[in-house]
Amino acid sequence: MPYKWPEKRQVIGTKVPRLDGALKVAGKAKYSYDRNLPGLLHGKILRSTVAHGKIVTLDLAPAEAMPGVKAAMSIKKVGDIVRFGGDEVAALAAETEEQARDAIRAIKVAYESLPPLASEEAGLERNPPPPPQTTEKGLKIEEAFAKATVTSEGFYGVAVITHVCLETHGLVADWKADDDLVVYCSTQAVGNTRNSLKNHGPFKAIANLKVTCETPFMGGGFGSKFSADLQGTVAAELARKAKRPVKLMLERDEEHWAGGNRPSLFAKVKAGADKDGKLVALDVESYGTGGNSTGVDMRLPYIYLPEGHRIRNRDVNVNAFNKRAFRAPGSPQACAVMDQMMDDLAHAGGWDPVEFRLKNLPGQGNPLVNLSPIWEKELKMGAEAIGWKQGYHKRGDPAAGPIKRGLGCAINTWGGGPGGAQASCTIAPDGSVEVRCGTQDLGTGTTTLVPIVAAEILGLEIKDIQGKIGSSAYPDAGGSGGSTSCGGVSLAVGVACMKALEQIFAKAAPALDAQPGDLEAEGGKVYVKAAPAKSLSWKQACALLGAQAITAVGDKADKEIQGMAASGVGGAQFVDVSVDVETGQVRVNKVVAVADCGLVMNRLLCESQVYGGVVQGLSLALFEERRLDPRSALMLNPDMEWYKLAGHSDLGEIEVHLLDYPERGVIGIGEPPVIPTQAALANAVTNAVGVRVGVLPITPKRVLDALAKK
Amino acid sequence: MKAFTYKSAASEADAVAALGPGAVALAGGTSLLNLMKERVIEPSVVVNLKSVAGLDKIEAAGDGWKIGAGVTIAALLENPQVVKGYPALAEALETVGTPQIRNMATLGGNLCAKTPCLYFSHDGFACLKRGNGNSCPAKDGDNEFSAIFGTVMPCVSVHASSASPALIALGARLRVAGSGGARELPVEEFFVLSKDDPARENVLKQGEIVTHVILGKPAGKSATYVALHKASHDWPTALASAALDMGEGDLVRTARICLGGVAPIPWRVQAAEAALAGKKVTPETASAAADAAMAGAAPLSQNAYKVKVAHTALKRAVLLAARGSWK
Ligand SMILES: Cc1cc2nc3c(=O)[nH]c(=O)nc-3n(C[C@H](O)[C@H](O)[C@H](O)COP(=O)(O)OP(=O)(O)OC[C@H]3O[C@@H](n4cnc5c(N)ncnc54)[C@H](O)[C@@H]3O)c2cc1C
Repeated sequence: MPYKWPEKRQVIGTKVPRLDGALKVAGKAKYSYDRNLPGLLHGKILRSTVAHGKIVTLDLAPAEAMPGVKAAMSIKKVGDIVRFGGDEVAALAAETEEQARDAIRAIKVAYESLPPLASEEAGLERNPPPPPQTTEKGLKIEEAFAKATVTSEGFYGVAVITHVCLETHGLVADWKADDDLVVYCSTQAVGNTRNSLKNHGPFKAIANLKVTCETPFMGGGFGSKFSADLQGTVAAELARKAKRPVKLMLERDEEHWAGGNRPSLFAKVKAGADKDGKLVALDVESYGTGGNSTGVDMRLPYIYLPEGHRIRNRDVNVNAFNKRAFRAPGSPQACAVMDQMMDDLAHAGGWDPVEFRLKNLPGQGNPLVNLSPIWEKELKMGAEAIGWKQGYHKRGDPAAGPIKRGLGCAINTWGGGPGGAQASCTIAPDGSVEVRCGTQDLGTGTTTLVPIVAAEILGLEIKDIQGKIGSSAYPDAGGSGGSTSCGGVSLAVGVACMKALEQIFAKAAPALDAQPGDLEAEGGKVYVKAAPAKSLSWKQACALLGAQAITAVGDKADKEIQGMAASGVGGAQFVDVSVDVETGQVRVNKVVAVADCGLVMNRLLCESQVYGGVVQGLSLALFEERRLDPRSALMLNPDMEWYKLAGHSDLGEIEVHLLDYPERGVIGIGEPPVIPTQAALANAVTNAVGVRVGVLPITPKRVLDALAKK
Repeated sequence: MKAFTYKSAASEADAVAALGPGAVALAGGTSLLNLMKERVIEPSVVVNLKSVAGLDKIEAAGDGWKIGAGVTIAALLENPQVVKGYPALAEALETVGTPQIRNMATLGGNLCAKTPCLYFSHDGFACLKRGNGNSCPAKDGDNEFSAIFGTVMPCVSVHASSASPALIALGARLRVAGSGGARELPVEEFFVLSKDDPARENVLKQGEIVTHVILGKPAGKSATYVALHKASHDWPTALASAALDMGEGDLVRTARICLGGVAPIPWRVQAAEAALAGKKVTPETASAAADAAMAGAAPLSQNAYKVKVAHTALKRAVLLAARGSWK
């Protein structure tokens, strides 16, 4: 019989505060950074001070002679090429962090400089230029434009941003024995972090190597922390050499240089609509960089599908660290291009932007057609909540004075769904319940999710469940990425508990003079559905197990649980801004975010994910940008002073509306809410000031430059 | 950070004596420590001024006030007489950094802090001002936040201090102590634009410290307008401080106007002051004064937008000073 979620839910979908919230607020949660093991050494990495060059000298001896140094190693060798400012060259471990820093400076290193590529434009102009990759679908592009009665052209873009995880990347490596390594790693994938150390790199050859990754808490990854990474492997190597535990967490500048970044995307776009306001043609010439050897994550055309489109993209290289996955890879950039284009086209045709979007929602032939009713609902709800009818005006606020107000919107989609996950549920004769799952809490609330699911299935309260996650020693679960943790973990835990409960029912049924299938667990009791008075307390029922605890395993891959989860969400966001056209400063008045996420597991933390997405989206829309020196390609703002991040006073009011579609099962909400904020804000700015700024982040310079060109 | 010797000075004389070659004064450390971590400044001795007796006092002095260089920005903002008597100063201080920074940062440190230039303040760049390069990398590099005035000078960084333009507009004076004793000078004369020594932005000599800021009689009308990108925790895009001495019939007798964030030192704009003299303050005259000031601007490749921002700041500061609102 296929498993399914209970019809009447007591815990799932309620508002459950983070179980570890108090620990975090009180500073009692131990992060990787906080693992100060006895005998701990501090690791540091020597990083290249040129963005492109060949190593011509590398001598560790002077560093090895420095006070406190216990182990040193080269990462690259003479003759190797460094490809970005901050590229890893060598590393060492010393008794104190200060000694390690000083010793790093004692390493003798010299580079022969090679010409760096310092910007996308420089990357485009290199010889030979990067070839375009072309996709063309539907009508031939000329034929598609022949159908258009209205066209618009624009240039839209999003700069490279970095992940800026509050807890930087890194780990503490502790060899318990020659073949037993424990790492405390800031990771969003404990299993893959273990695998990356065990199956790849320098330790692969160690026979019967056991690696365990422990991550009870971590401070943000956003897609940039799926393995031990180079610095993790280096820490483990140094620890092995020194026979002492080594902590190697990146410093803030290193985090910017080599912790991860999101590719840029800049697009020259021409689009056309027919007289009925249907998008018919889209021609895009774009470029972007994913670092020194990778390109953009191309997701154009995004959502709206014209009758004919052509995308010609060039992946350009710059001498900077390669991209990492970042919260909904490729989508915020695609949305920023597509939804700004939609706004300009609506303007050109004289159509209301919301109406224009409604008219162009995916129809037959578009794989997203099933989401259209959701978007329709969301666009209407969002428009209502932001006050579109009253607040929207034609492009350019006619109000006197320099403060101009405007509204804008954008829509998004993302897959999500259940990721690979296994879990075990152990019930002891004393009634205690322990659920183990080798997932991790990326900050999304997985620690709280596990007991929610178990309590629901077993008819208990959250406090009755011991949820154990954040260790690769627990049953394998995938990395927290793609908005798939909630789905995968919910299914694995849910089914593990359902299977364990079946065993309890089997024991309890004779005592209640019933069949196992007649029983229900609810409110701390096991009872006969048809005669609720016939019941046992949970403890009484578990006591029937005798001396042995039982353990059941749930696996998301189990065929019998299909239907408990789904994939594919739609969302819409509306932004209300005021722009000072004499200083270029944008102030956010309000954001309305409407998000769909199937079956809501924890309403509080689900909403919290949407708030977080909007906050990050606003920060990206207004402030965040990696600045490379146009000559050296070295990063000019590897800090939190000039790498600007939104603070509370920058955010305005944020209103979240969650749509419930419990019949769709669990989907996941981590990534989608960050996608449309940038485009919606850009559209609001244009509505306010009357010109398209186009490229994000929308800084005073970009606003005033755009106005000056008007 | 390079290892250093730490000395806590108990008195002015102590501090002056300790500030020998290779030594640097430490106040709140909100600027200095960043530069030391980046190894932009590598002192062998760090002399703590927070321990100097009396440096943290705000005292009445004649018609005005004598403010110790060690008074924190937060303490100044909590002083009702200072806030009420010198709105230009209070409005400038309100936006400095964050509450945490304002709790640590001192007025003396604010006057003496080094530029937040992207190149100067980060290790890894050859920079004329830092002394490890022979040209200014911002000139034909990333100069979005650089100077728009004085750009013919060898270094195009902007001065860090938000408070100084207000102090200049208010006609404040400084007391400086050194081995030869103490002297007083107008804040305006404290700052120097030096072709020969781009490393310096003020007249302090080795071993000298700022001990006090002396504010005269509260000015009739004064204001500062700070244009920011972020609402908080950001450097001003540009700011302007104005102090107006009003004559009969609401006419400006004299004006003192100074810009911040636009030049290697606080940038007094006498052309704007002259444009306002004898006029009534209206949006038109304020804008004309800003036009006069901006006639001298020479923006770099990427920062023409700052001319507009500075223009706006000046216009609004003047309107705020005269009418309490710029709108
Ligand atoms: C994120 C951030 C944002 C900031 N935003 C602003 C801003 O908007 N506006 C602004 O003005 N500043 C800003 N600052 C800079 C700085 O924090 C302030 O200027 C602060 O007032 C410096 O004071 P302090 O006491 O911390 O100085 P310190 O860091 O201790 O010293 C700064 C310099 O002054 C010297 N010095 C200190 N006291 C004396 C003295 N009495 N005599 C002689 N020399 C002395 C020191 O040797 C050092 O060179 C910001 C800083 C940060 C980190």
